[in-house]
Amino acid sequence: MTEKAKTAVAVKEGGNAGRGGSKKRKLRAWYRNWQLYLLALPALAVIAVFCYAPMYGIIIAFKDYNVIQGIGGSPWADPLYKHFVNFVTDPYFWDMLWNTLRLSLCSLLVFPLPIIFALLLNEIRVKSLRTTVQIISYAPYFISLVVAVSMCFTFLEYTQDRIGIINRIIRAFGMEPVKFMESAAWFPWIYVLSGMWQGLGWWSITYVAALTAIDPTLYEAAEIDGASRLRKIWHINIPGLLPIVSITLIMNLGNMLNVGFEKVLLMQTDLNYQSSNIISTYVYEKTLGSVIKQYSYGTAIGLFNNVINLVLLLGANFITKKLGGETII
Amino acid sequence: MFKKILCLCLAAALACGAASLFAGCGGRKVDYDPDNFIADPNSEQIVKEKITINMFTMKASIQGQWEDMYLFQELERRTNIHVEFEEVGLEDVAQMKGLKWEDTENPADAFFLGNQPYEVAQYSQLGALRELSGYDEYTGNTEKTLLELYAPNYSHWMEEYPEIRRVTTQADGKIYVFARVALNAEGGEVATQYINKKWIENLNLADFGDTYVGESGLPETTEQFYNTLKAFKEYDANDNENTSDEVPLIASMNDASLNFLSCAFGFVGTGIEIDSRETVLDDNGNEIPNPNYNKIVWVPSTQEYREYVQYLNRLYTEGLMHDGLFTNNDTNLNSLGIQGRLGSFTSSGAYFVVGQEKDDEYVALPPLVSEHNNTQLAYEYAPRFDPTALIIPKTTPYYREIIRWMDQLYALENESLQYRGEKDVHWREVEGLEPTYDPLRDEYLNRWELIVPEGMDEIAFQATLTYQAGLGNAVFTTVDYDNSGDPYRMKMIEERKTYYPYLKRYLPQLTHTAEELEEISALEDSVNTYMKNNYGRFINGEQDPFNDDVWAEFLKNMEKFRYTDIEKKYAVAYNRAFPDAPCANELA
Repeated sequence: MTEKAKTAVAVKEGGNAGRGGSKKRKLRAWYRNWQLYLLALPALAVIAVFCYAPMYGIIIAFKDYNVIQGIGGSPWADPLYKHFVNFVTDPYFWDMLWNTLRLSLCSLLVFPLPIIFALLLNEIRVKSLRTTVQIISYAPYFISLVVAVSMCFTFLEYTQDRIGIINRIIRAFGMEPVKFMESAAWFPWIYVLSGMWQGLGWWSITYVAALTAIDPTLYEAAEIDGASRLRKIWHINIPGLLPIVSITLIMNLGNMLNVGFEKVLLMQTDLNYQSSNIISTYVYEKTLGSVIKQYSYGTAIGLFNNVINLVLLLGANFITKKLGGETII
Repeated sequence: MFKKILCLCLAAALACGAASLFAGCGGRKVDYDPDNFIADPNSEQIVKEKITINMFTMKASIQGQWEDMYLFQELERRTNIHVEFEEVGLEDVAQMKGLKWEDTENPADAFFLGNQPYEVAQYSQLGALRELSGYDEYTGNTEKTLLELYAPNYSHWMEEYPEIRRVTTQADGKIYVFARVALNAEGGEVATQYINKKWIENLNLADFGDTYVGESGLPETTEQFYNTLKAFKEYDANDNENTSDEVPLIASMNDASLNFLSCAFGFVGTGIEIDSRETVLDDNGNEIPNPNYNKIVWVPSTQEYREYVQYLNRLYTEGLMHDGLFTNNDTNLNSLGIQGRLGSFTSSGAYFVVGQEKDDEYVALPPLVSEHNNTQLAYEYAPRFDPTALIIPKTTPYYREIIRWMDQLYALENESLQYRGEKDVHWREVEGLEPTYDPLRDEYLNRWELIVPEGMDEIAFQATLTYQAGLGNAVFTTVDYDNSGDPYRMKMIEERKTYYPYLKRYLPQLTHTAEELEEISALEDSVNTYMKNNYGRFINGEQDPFNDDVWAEFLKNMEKFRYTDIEKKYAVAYNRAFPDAPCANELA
């Protein structure tokens, strides 16, 4: 568009090109799309009511909360950051932090597995076979956590009169069976790999969807150029997946310290406690599991957790931005 | 046009949603009429015009609505008070109770069952609870307390058993909570350690002097128990021509077998405890006065604890204890039991584990003694007087009504209602079995059974009658209601009595201020975590409990967690509760 034409459009739309004009234009744009805004309103309301309003409760991290006086009436902690200091000076603080980080890092290490799985799935040409593989891989996702954990215990069992399937396989290969659930060293891997067994198929769905969205003409062009299957995966599929991969990676980094306590708690035994004592199970023990419910302390730990998560998320986002990839903000 | 109508519909739906968010915010208005209350304790009726009271409580998963239970319907008929229960599942109680206290729109008039000592201490300190030892504000009568005026039954038991008053009196000298009272034997809640008598006979272990068994024909010391388990393992104890299928002892980290074994060394648990043994044995086996008598100790710091974990270590590493100690569950236990492979295990009744067929092979093993401990001890699960039954928030105007209503549950004639409903309607006596003597009522009680409707199981039926089913003891118990005609059950109850003379709890019930409890809890949590980190590893040999350096390191680290401060704090509370017989701890 030439300069002349641009001016003509401006004159036509706004009459006089002053500040009031732009305001009017904005209003008109609002008015024109009011149905869309209306549609977005319920979602915004849900976020406001269920995500923002409860944040008010965070102030109990700075108070000595008790249920009688309530959030507003409970006295302020002395000093305000008392609960944070208590947490950081807790003799188990570094152990817990390391255990939590280790679980997250192990989870990150297996992060590429669903991507590889999606790529492999994409290569299966027989449709019925592909559907069968997909259904089988999704199925464990629908097993409830408690059942899944007890299945883990059964699969990995090794006592004098019972031996689980995994240990049977290990023994079949002539190796010594392992008491997996009683080993602090094995705990992070059992946690992560059992999660992978449950979620592999499910997590690969996004990647499979992204792969189907890739323009088929790219494949045709590659074929004409004489590209092999591996070449096509390398030059078309993987670049096609990268945006979604970077977004999920950022999101995962943002959840680094948010290891869910339920599964860890269910998998905890007296012998793997050394590596299964993580921040979130500690919060559970302090707030709900303990005789004395230390709500303020638990909230302070939760807040501490989330601040670190936010920093990690923003950091990862910043790095991806610098590398020129997709970002969330 | 269609688009516009759609939009309007959406907008209307939104508005309705928003409106419903604020719905239900109407406050409950109470017009309290003091004259509606009938103060005469002889009258069953408590109010003239029917009133509704809101009570927060916890419920077991097998229970339905409490309002539909026979007990509460009957109480409503008698008292004219309708109680609206807000029942919360056991797992959510802590959280929901907190929310209920914050609920100013529809507050609870009382909190029934499961009121933890810390809650009572904290809420009473904040002035949120009605003082039961206070006075009636409506009449201005300051001669008699609320309990004396409106809870004659409960007051009677308080007179008879001063311990009730002691455990319910808070640090400020006032009473805010009703206690759960169990006058039957010792509460009856104990797990039995079973041993296979038939295996002992099969192997003729009695023929070897006192190596395996004592005069009773059963192991009496930890060494005899060890030797017996060893014999079970090495020989074909179950007589099936297979010497390797026997499991001498099975336990899991959370079950009472470990308590049974720790008792043999002088303490019923592995936390804070008072040393109640007057004498101990020196290295030569001579009886000497216990230097720690009446002292409150952190058990893992004691020599007795070391001997105990050394013993467990021996049992575990030599394969005498099932190696699923850290992962075992009931399914494993039962499947081994049914196969006839178990030498010794813990359970409330052997037939639950091994089935009725093999039930008579097993007998209760009385508490053991060990090299340095000559006192037999057994762990008592529930205290006889538990200050948790009911608290009343200060905000309710109905406190007199609630106290009178609650007092009904402490009446001797209403006790049976709390367990089995009405005679000949819900239960009947069983003829031809030996009755049991009830010293409290001075009469013989016949055995009985529930009249269970067809297609319903016993416990589910009981859950339609009373709140007790699924929750353990009722608020008030004087006799053992586990008194049916079932012979296996009867054997089980008899076996339990083996332990009654030796029962001990860690400490007597003590009351603390909220601040004291907070400090204790913070300290105990940390040192417990450390304990938990090491306990299992001592047992399975990852850490060697026989190595003096390892042990010294363990003790040193526990010291860093200030276990001595925990001992002191408990000692202070103990001396406050028993000023005439203080503990032996030095508090200077």
